[in-house]
Amino acid sequence: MSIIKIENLHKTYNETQVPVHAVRGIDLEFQEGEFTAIVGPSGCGKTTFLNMVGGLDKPSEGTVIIEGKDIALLSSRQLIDYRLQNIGFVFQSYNLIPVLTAGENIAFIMELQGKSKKERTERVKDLLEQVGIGEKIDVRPGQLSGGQQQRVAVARALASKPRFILADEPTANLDSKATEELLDMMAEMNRKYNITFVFSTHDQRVINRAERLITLTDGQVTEDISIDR
Amino acid sequence: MNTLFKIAWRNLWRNKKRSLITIVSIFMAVLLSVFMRSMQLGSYGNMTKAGISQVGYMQVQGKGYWENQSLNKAIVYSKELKEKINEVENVKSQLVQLQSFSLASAEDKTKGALIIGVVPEIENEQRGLAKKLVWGSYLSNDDKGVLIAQDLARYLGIIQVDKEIVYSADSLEQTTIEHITLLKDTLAIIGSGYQGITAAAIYPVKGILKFGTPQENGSLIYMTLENAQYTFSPFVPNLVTSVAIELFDKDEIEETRIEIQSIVGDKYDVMLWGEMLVELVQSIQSDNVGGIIMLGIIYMIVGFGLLGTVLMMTMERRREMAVMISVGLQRSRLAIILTVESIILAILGVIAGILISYPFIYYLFLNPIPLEGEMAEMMTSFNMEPIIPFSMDFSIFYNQALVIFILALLIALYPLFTAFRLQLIKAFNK
Repeated sequence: MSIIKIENLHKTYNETQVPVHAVRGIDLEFQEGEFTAIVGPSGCGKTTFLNMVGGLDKPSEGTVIIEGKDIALLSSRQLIDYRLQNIGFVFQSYNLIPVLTAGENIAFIMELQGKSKKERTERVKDLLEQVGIGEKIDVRPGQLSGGQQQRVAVARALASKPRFILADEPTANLDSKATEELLDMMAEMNRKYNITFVFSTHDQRVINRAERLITLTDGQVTEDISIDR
Repeated sequence: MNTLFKIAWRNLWRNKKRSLITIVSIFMAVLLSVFMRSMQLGSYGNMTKAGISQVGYMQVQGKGYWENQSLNKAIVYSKELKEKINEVENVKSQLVQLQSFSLASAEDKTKGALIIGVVPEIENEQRGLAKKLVWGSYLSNDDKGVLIAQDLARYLGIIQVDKEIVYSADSLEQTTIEHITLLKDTLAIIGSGYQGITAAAIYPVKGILKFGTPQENGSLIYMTLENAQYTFSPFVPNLVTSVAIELFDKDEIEETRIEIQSIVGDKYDVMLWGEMLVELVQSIQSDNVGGIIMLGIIYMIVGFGLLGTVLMMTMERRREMAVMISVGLQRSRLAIILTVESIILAILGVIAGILISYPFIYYLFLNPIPLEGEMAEMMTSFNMEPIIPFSMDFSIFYNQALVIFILALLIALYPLFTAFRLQLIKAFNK
């Protein structure tokens, strides 16, 4: 079943006198439970593409339809709420809230969703156990390693029980061991909860795990292959 | 909501030094502004008290007397009028005077003077007239003599004033001692009395008074009310130009005026002290404006300090704000976090400022700063206590808190604006 449908997606930046075409006419569909990697050289439009799919940036042209809804038609408030309920984000530089502990970072998302304190407490513990850092619940991000921070970021992305997770180069700042552990964990979440994962990456270790590989070149899809793992 | 507050609180302490400097600057501003304001209002209180001691809280006068101070607009202070005024619950006491302008003469010199007939004992009790005596003795209730203001007496050649300047051996501080010698012992008064009769009399000089202002010092002559009435109105008994009224509760001054006016009727004017001491009120008002401008400058300095902190706290966290919005925090809630941060900073500064300033000002309220030397003499001559008094009016503390709070809210407009206008991708890229 198609969860995300992208039609004729364009993004042109006009910040300088010369327009920059970051994304040029992408048509794609993502199925529920897919584990997809978007690859390509730096500047090919991976991050811009993910930002538009996540509703963080507006397309210059084209539509992003998620579960039948054109997200361009949502108000700013509705869009934020939609992201909260349906999309999990994992950023390259973790982007945890530095003044909250690991547990509070995760609980914060559920609090925004209006979940009860009891439910939040139980799920925070459960998620941190699942990502393998249960003992770090009361530690602030600044005292965690990069790998541990990214695990908290994944737990935070999962906290809202999203339909899909957008991960922008999640392993870029991690060492090999942390990368493997993180990918194992994400793959397990994908299998266990049937969550759709879309990565942007040029990390070969991520590419090796992907079930679908989309290659972007100069803002266009040049290759889209499914890999049977 | 709890987490939003937690984020705001913890954000403040990410840069402890900066937050503490901001809080201390607000604290200092509150302390300084409370100190200034308390001293200012205290001084106004002192000035007002001195003014009221001269004219009373209000006066009952003949219709139109204040605009045209003619003896012909004097009133008869009958027993009935006295009792009527006394019926008003808030009236504590009444003090009558008869005033008239006349010529004062001593041998070959003559000058215009204001003759004031008073009840000596009550005048001294309520207005401390005897304290102004620099030579001679004070009037008794049946005295036939007069008290003359020093400069007037000198002009008329009644006294000679020799000044002795004394330097202290250790500090070379200069003190001036005046020695008064009586040259003439009688004063003649010639003028127009009630309804045009001639008023003329000769009085023995009983004493010399020294006042604070040159106008008073150069023109006043005091005698007993009985003497004044005999001189200016021998055929109409109990004539007075004003009935000054002291009150139990000064806060009910307006209500009391209305009540007295309704009792005495339209033939009389009831004047409040502020209507009679217009110059005093105006000088307080103009000084007050100066004080408010100073406070404004202090607030501006504090405001810019607070704005600087809030600006930095906002600018350096744009990416973090973008992340919070990305993961599902509504912009309005982000605005709450940012506003709460500004308000907490302001509240902490204000609370610290009030907690420290309250006992400090209370101490000064109980122990006003005493003045010495010429300053003290000058204040005494103006009927003021020679002190720098402090006011404990609650509004001083409340107003500082309110102003800083409003300032914090205004400054919070910047982060508020940022929260609603933040462009996520730009913030991420920065």
